[in-house]
Amino acid sequence: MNNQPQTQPPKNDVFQYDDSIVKKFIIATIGWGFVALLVGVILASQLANWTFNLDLQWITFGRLRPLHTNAAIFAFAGNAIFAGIYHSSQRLLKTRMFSDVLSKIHFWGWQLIIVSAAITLPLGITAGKEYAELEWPIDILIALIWVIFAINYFLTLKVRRERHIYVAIWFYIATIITVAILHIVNSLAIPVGLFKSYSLFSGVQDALVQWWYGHNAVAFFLTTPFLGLMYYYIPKVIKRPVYSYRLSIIHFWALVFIYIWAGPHHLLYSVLPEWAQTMGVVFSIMLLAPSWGGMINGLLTLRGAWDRVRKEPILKFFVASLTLYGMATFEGPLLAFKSVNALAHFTDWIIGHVHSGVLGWNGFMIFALLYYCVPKLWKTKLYSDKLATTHFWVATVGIILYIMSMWASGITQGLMWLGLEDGRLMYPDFVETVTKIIPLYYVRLVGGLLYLSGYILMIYNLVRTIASAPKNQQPISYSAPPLQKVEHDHNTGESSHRWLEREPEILTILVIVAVAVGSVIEIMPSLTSHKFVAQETTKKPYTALELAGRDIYIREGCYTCHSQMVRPIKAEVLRYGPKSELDDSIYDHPFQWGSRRIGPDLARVGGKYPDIWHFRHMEDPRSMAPGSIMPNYPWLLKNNLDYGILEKKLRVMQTLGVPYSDENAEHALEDAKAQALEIGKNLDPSIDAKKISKKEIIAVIAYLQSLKAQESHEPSHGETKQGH
Amino acid sequence: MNDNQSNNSNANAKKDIEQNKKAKDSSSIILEDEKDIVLDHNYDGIKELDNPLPKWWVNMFYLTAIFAVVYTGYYHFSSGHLIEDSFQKSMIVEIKEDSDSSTAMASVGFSEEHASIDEGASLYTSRCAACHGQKAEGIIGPNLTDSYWLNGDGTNDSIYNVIKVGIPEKGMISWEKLLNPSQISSLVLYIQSIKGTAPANGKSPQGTLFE
Ligand code: HEC
Ligand code: HEM
Repeated sequence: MNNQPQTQPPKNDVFQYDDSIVKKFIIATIGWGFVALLVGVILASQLANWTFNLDLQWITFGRLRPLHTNAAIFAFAGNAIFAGIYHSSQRLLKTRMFSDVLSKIHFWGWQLIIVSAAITLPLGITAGKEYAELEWPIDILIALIWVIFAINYFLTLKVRRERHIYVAIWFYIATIITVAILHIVNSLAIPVGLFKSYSLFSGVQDALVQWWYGHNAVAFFLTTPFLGLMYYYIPKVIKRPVYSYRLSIIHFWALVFIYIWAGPHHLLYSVLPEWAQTMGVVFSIMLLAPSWGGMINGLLTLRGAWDRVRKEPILKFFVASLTLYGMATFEGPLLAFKSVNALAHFTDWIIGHVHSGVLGWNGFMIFALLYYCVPKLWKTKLYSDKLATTHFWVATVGIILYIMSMWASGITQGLMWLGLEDGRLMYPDFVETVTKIIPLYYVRLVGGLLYLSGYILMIYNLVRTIASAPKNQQPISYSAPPLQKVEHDHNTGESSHRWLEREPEILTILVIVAVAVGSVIEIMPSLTSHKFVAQETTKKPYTALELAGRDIYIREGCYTCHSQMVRPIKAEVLRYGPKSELDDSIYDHPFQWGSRRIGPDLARVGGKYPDIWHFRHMEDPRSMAPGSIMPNYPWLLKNNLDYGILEKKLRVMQTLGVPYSDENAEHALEDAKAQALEIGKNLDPSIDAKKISKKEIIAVIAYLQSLKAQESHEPSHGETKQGH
Repeated sequence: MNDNQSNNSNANAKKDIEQNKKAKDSSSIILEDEKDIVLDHNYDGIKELDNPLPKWWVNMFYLTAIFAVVYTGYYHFSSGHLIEDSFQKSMIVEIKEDSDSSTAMASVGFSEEHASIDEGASLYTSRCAACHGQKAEGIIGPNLTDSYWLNGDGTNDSIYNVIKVGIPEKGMISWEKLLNPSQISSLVLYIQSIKGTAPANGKSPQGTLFE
């Protein structure tokens, strides 16, 4: 540009990239990935054969599943994203990270978070919200570390030597901003103690916030950062120009704007107002094109290099990753149709969908990144291309077995649940719909084992690679001129987006606006409508003992297998009882609607069986329901219930707006003991009522028996409001 | 457009010598037909092409947007398609059917026609033994091998009825929705067949004696 006063060319800065932080994140990725996959395989074995729960409370399915999802998303994918972001951003911005200290705090802080998760989740310390299980002290740590990462990142942008920021960086910025917002809002809670808190929101409101978070964790943790990685690593590896700059711009903004609206597709047929559900559906459908925009821009960048795909394992991983991304983002909108969701929701089809995303799109992208970065950073060659190719094929067969078996299992079970004959259920016995799909659980287990075996090959390959690295490597110095101030001049013909690319602050603000619009429009109305319901309801809050039981239900992760949402579908009402209503869960901090029915829905289980049935069933489910795959919970019969904390719990609930009177709270302990003794006496003459009434099992029974339809929705005999 | 060009080429020119070689290696391979559409962007050697948006992709985007409007219209701006509406409709049919079938069922009652003791025995083991014991000696539920009955009088019709409607408040669930009439009849046959077997550890008699 020539209207710039032509002073002397500026003197070059000489600088080095911080690759040691990238190496740290890479090693963490490799290690945690193994843990995540291993836990996944254990879970798969537990569903195929319940005895693998081993009667050990720490490793029952309900406690282990959150560990698996957290490890896969936040430890494996998380560390990989950070490795990629630190590696590519420094190069794209021609600068070292702003502060090595902040980078290190980010790294070690993140590992601390993961270790705390790995300890607390098996202990049953959980907030009970999917993908956001970690309790409040860890949540605060996550927020802190994320902010440190953000500060370091934005200051790095400030000291960059490349005037314009590349599309990968736009995606990184969207990730950093949105994840912070999602995490903070969804984690709002009031502590009861160091290891226990109650979500600020309840019922439908909590559900909406949770899935606004949950869906966008998929969007802004598993999609946008990976698109950023794709935009850097594919052109780097293949040495080809990115197919279309214009496509990058359009699909970036479309994706960021539209994704945030789609959360309610997790709540179809629930008690969420239908306008919000429909909005979730239509925005999911509109997500197809923006998602595919990323896929085709990646695939077309490979144009003219297809012969190399046959030879180079890294390229194979790229191609398969993008293809599976395309598949998952086609399947997603399909699943979001109300009529398809009625069949697929709560079944394994969803699990299949998730895993084509995470194993295929995320996993393969990470493998490509590792196979590319490790030799590069350690300045050596990959130990074996052949092993990497074997890894690719083993993992691909693993994914195919996984996805196919879950499709088959999901559709089979979905059809069995809904099957009607002469107005009666064709398969009234829930257990029958479970035993039917057990063989498919074995197929999935094999798929998972293959994927894990491939992973182990990769570890071996990378370890050998690192071991062969030359010692005493000198860091390479780079040089580039510092950025000069330029006045923006519209006459130069620069497009406005090109201008935006050199104003990252403004780009960031626009991203915030883009995600805020959908969030506010969707969440705000629900906050107000909920209040309205709260004033009208005749629903009684849980008794102190029931509340204690509910907390055990959350601790054991029962929601990972049981839903509490009877959908307005005939077969469902025949199977479980009256459909769920808004006020059923109005005092539920957090809500427990669940997303999967490995076991039957429990929203109407109260009163269906006698207390002794639940007692025997929790101790040994198969004694009451032959063929069941539910784990045994013998420790509930041994552990004493913590009665002491009940008053505190009721007080916190009071603060949250649950209509307990002060008297309720003061008498929490006596009331609970009295109710427990009543249940104890009711069990069986051979059981010592006094002794058993001290145990946790009694609270669980009390909670389960409280899960019922409201007697009548018209206030019947004057007892409209209690409390205030 | 041009200020970054000077900037980038500047940066490229000034790279360290060892880097220079690398940078060349990693610069993009441009195909013949792409020469005219290479943008002057250069990020760590990455170039971008100025290809137009694929037509089919743009059309797909428009189509999904149009579809979104139609879909919303179908559910919210034309009557009778809301989830609640279709649910209510399906339940009305249900009630009609139900009244048909319940009169039909009442007239069915106990019938030996399709029933068999063997079927009854296996159903008993899988569904009833949990509460009544493997040998019907009684655990949570009463002993079913004696001649004492808490409910009804021990005739086929009476046992059929107890199993069908249950005694929910006492912990015996209704099996009407889980078993069909011939299965319930098989159970009745089985229960009658084990009368007087006096299994070990039998629960002591409850209810009234009917011979
Ligand atoms: C959840 C436990 C449970 C299961 C499962 C169960 N029952 Fe019962 N059953 C009971 C109880 C408790 C009673 C006693 C009710 C009462 O006190 O009136 C009972 C009573 C009965 C009676 C009446 C006995 C009498 O003395 O009046 C019959 C017949 C019977 N059950 C048959 C069956 C059959 C057949 C099955 C399997 C299809 C079955 N039960 C499954 C708990 C159960
Ligand atoms: C266009 C993009 C996508 C859309 C519209 C979409 C849509 C959906 C739908 C409708 C569900 C089912 C909700 C339910 O019935 O419970 C779902 C679940 C899920 N999807 Fe996607 N999906 C998309 C892409 C992806 C991708 C790429 C991934 C992974 C990287 C992914 C991961 C998940 C997860 C983790 C769940 C939750 C499972 C649960 O309920 O616990 N999705 N998605």
